[in-house]
Amino acid sequence: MLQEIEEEIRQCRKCPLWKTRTNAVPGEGCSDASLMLVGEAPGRKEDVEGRPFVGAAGKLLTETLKKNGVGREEIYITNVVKCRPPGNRNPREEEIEKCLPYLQRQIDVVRPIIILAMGNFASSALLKMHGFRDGKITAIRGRIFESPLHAIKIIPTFHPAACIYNRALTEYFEKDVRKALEHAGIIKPF
Amino acid sequence: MFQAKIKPDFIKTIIDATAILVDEAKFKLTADGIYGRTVDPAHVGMIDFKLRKEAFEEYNCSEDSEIGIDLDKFNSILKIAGGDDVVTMEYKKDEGRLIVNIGNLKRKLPLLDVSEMSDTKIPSLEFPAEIVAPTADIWQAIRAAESISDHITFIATKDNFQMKSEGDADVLELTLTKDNLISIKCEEEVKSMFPLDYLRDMIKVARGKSEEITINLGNNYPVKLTFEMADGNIRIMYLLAPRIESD
Repeated sequence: MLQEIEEEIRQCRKCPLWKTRTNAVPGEGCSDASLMLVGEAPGRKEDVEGRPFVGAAGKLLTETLKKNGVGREEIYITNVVKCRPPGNRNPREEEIEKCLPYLQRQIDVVRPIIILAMGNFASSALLKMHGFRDGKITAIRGRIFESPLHAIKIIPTFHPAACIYNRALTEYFEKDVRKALEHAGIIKPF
Repeated sequence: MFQAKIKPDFIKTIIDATAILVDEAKFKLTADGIYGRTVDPAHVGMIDFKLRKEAFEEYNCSEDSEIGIDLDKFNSILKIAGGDDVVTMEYKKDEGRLIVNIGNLKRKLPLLDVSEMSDTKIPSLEFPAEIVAPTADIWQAIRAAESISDHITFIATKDNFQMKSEGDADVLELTLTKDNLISIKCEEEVKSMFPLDYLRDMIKVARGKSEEITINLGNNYPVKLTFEMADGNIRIMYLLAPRIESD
């Protein structure tokens, strides 16, 4: 089921981003993961390899997981927008709109307990999708947004790329990753 | 441009049905009718409604729009309308207001910013049981349960649908057999518990307006309540999260 969605994404031409992409980046990881990590959109390296979070931001993410004794294969990693916006510009509203149903379907199949929404775009899209009001990432990061109806908890955090530009954010990012891992039952609380 | 005329009772039903969950809501105006979906702040209950254009006396919508409504304000206008009145609603995108006419009375209702309002998705759910029951029977059980508890358990088996509520000492049961139900589809027993306050408000919307309610149920799972009114031109679907029993 998940593979079918991933294959559809690879063939997708619903928005103009297909014209400039090298590869679509559907996502990867455990198909019944209790934790799903969602970023904004693929960058240059992700576009070349067709895999999410394999560039500099991905390195920080993988290291943060490793610090907690967790491998990438234990979780599911994807983005809101599955194709690289040219020049790493912000995804446009219509691109997000066309791509969001893929993420919805991925969530429905994986059925994670926790979604860690990394960055403004992912936080905004995921919170709105589940009926929450959006807010500035600096104000809402680390908070747990719980929907009993959707049987899901969303934790917004900074995008790891933001931590590369502003090292002061890394501490918060690491804290939020740990919180997500704990609530997903992947690691035990201290 | 949107312009429509409707019986006050129909539009009031939709406003009341939504207002049990939220104070403000986003409505989609389309060529086929008015649609809305919203979840309450606790994320326990959700409404998804369709008010088809056939429910209106007159209906004209040249362009799809989304409007944000203060439900209390809208209701305060609708209270004025008598049963024989017709409510006229007009909306022009650039004016940012909904004009509501009842008889010679005109009220310009300021609209809310919809950009902040969410586009809640319906959770992906698969229900192992479906019961179609008389609304009056469900309402009777809900009312009776209220005096002894704040929650109620729905149990479906192959042949029966049971509603059970337990207080400190009292137990209330209503069992509807296949013969009392309009239909029941259930392979194995399923059971879920729900908060009575939400259920009461939801069933109350259907009471007296819809003769039957479709109940979709699972094990420790949300319940889906669906009912239709106005010859099927008003369709309301509620989802309610279960109360999970702790050990």
